Amino acid sequence: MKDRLLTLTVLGLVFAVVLAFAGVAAAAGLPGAQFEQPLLITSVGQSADGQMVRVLAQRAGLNFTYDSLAGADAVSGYRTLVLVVGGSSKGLGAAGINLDQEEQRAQALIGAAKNGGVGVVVMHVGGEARRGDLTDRFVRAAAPRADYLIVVADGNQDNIFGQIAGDSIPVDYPGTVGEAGGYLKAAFK
Amino acid sequence: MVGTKKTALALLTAAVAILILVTPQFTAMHTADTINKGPGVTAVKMLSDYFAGLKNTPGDTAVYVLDSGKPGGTALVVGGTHPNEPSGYIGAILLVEKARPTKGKLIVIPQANASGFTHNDYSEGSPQRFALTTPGGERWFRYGSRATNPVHQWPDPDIYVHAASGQKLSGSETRNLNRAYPGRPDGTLTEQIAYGIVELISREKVNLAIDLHEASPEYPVINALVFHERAMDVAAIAALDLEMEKIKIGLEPSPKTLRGLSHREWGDATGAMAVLMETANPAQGRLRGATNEALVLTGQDRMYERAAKLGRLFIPYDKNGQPLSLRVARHVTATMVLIRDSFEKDPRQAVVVTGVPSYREIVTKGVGAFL
Repeated sequence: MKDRLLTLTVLGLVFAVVLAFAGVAAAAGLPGAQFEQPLLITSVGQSADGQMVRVLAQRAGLNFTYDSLAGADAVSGYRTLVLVVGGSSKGLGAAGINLDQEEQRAQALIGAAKNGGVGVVVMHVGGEARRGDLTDRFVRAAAPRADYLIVVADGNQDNIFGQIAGDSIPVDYPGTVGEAGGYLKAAFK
Repeated sequence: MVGTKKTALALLTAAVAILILVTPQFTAMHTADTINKGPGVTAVKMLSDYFAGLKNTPGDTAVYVLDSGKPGGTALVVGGTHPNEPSGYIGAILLVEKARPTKGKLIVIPQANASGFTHNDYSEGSPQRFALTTPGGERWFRYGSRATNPVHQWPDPDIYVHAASGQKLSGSETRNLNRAYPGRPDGTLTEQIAYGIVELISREKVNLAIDLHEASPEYPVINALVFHERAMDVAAIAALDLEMEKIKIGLEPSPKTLRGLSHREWGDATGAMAVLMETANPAQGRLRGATNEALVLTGQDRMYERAAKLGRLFIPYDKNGQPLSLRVARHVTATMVLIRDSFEKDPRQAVVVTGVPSYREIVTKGVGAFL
């Protein structure tokens, strides 16, 4: 009888632990489609990762506009702003802007979105290879004000996105850019 | 010690002996590598067929045409822009020897800067050649220099001024083919080679032009694809498709302000979608140890392992290094995916290429198995 009670207690504890972790996992990700279309997709950092998200949105059949240099005035008319964060010195050079100008543009975009009740989704699909001082500056500028984060897992090896998200921002970590497209699609009504 | 006629004579004799010993090695760099015509090759032209000014110059080079005979688009693959970046030209040679187009036309220039193959960078301690084991036995390839041979183009100016833009670079860049585009018919030898390639792209109405390169593992634009804005869509689609094949490739837009490079000037001067791809060659890096044939072939280097552990590299790097076969596999597979994806929107312009080994085949069997 005593052994049976012990077994049941252990099983109960294991079940409770499993449930607790499942709860954390569910709370960390986006629980369901919360965002509305149309979307404005833009780059923060002028890497070509934005182009990949554009292709993902196209394949997902989303109603979107892609403008890598969209300004704050472009936000009106859209229900969701998608910021693809990834710094590229080549990209910034190609766009003819510097880091400060790009960061200001990102802040202005987010400000306009928040004022207009537009959802903000921040994506990082460049992974480990894209991380570095340049990208991290843009991550810190954009991610804390996001309503949802989609981060390709190997870009979060130092848990920078996890720390930013804390308990307040839903975050999903797809394994590949292709999988990120699935999360993007699922986020929209 | 006071010199005498005897010591002078002895020194002179020693110098002559050394000269006699090293001359064959030095001149061996002028012996062309063997490139076999594969089953898909329908014509072998010369770059001078597109720009006559190159005829009988060290800048002239072979152009392999693989024409399916069926209507379609035209794709160009260029290797050997920098002859010290072997995955580019070995990948291009593999295409010459294996590819069989069934629609459209594939054109391959395996050794774009032929002059650069006739010397190497003495101050880098680079090997002159490396050998691959092939079904036909050991096959040697030259490991050349990044730049045109100064014997063929000399002297370098203090400052190289890019003719089309006025952009200023260091003097030695005047012999860098990938700073010379779109080139000039009356310019330096390097500018004439560049001009010949741009003429080829225009005359052959090339739709997609791919330039295969390598760079050091500590360079940020590595395992990457740099694209002209006209190639933006296809680059993004190809990157996603490559990811599905477990090949990660970074995307970088071609800066409009960085002039003279293929991904910028081919796109601006012609109607082609221009892209440049980079793999990681530790033999080119600043952190490397002994620079020898083994390093070229295996890409294994203890210093790079340390650098990777310190987070100083932009690619995953462990004791397995970055073998030449892996680098060639990346280039060849990405080239095939780009060719396929480029013409997805307009099947009338399609180039369909068969006969090329897969990424897995090249990595597991080694690139030599296909040469």
